[in-house]
Amino acid sequence: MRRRREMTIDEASGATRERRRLRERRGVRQFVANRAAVVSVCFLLALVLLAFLAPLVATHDPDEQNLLNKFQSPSAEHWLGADLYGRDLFSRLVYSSRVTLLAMLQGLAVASSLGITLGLIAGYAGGVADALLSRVSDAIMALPPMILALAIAGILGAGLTNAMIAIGVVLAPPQFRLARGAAQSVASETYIEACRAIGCSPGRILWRHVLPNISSPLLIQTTFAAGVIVIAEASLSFLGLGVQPPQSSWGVMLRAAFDSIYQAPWMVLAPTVMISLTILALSTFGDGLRDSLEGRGRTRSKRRRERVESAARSSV
Amino acid sequence: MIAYAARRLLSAVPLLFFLSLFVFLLFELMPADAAVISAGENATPEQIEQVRENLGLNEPLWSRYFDWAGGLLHGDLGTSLFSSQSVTSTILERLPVTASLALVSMVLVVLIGLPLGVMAARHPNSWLDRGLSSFASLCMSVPPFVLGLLLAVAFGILLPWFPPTGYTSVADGGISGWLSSLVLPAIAVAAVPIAELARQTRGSFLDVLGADHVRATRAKGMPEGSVVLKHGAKNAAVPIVTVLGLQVNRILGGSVTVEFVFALPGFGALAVRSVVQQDLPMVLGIVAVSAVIVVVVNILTDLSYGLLNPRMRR
Repeated sequence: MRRRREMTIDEASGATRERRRLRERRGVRQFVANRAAVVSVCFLLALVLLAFLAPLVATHDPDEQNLLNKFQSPSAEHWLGADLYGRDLFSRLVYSSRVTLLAMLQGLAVASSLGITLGLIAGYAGGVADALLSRVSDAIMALPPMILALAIAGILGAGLTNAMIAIGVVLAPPQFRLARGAAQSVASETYIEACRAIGCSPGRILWRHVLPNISSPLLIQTTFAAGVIVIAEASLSFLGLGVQPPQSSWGVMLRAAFDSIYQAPWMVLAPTVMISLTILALSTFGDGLRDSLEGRGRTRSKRRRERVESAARSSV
Repeated sequence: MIAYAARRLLSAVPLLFFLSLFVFLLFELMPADAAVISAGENATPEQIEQVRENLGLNEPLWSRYFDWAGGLLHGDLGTSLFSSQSVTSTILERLPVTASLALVSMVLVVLIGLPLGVMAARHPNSWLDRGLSSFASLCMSVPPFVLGLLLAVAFGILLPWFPPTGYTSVADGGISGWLSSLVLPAIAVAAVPIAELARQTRGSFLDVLGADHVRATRAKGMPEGSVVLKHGAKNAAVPIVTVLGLQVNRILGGSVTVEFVFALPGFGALAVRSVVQQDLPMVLGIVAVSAVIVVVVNILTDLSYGLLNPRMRR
């Protein structure tokens, strides 16, 4: 009995399901028409594929040392040359894409689980919890992200996971604000009241009725956050606080290039290209998503405000 | 205006108080133990206990917070765990280098970003506009330290035009020595802010130049130059100043890695060193000082809104 009633209310909350489906289809069409965005998606998919197929793509064992090849410049044998220990740079570059993906997953997991969960709770519960959590989020946003991430990562101890916990904490506030705003704005809606009246738990209300409302801004936010994570991973690994050698990442490779910058300056190029292309692809993808998901019904000044806000968010 | 400024300044007090509490508690929650770090690797438990007592770590949490926050108000941030130097004086020693870097970068940002944005807005959708927009996207995709590495290789090593590492103060090398040691790092730090400012400027000017009152000034025959500068600039200024204010945050963050690349003995390099050494009071001081800098810049940005747009003084 209770179950059937609840279904109807679920349907009522998505009363415009048909209209939504049409809108989604239009959004997909608009996204596909954006050539830059499609190219970026292809690049990102290729990157994922590269990470999974790394053993097949790599021409050498990434950790195999051969001092005879020390600082060898690019050749048929070593496509991108070899480093101080004669390790093949192409293979190291390929294997490093795994670290980048892992870093993205870890960082986003921390940022989203902290930001979204606490945001929904703060917005729905209000009161002291909301006041306190909002202050904390404001405090994090008032600090320069890179310095805060550096401090947290360093004191937790060097390592990829710690670095990503740090960057996750720094990136949580935007997600927190989104989730909190959404929870707050619907908390007094009739359909939420109806859910409560028939005995839905707060968890179910937040999960099934509040969260879907903000799925598209969250998705966009997440794409931009992924770009920040790539920068942060590279920066922290470069400084020796992220991925630890001999394990390789693009940041670690840049550090190796930096340490032998006088002997083999060309070593800087390959990781630079990969890092920049990945960041470019993520931001282009994010822009495309935003245009297709939120393109309509927004005035120019609102879009401008969003640009300012996203500039504020993406600053590391 | 004075009332507006006073209100804005007062509103920063609770934020700063909460920030200090937050930062202090954050470090309290960290697994690192100042006594263990300070006592060194081979310390016996008794020695660690002794150090803990000396550092005052056995005091209750709230009394340590008030000690620290009270010191903060007097400009005393405690003592480094390693050099037994005062944190405040170490940071003050380093700040001029970072301030120089920030100054040169900010000059580059304004001198390059603004004209590029205005030019793009004057000819929307021209090849110039599209080229600038692609260039901006590209700039924003290269993290500052990566650009720094590229610049160091290209213009420090392959073409030795500028010193690839090190800092020369004005006292040591005169203005030209000082400037040439800062050119490459400043470009590295400024690239992303330049792109962002250019984008924002373009957007703001496009909005304003399409407005009715601007069309009216054109219609009455005002020269295009004064239309853009007199009527465009004033109205486009608020969002541009906002973005400019945000860049200070970015430059502070960028200085961390860029100073490391160019071996500049600044605030960012100090942050990296202290974090690697786990020098807790130093790191805490660095975070606190950067928070104060950001809050002050935000206040200045807000005050400039009041100057630019009297309606915002409410």
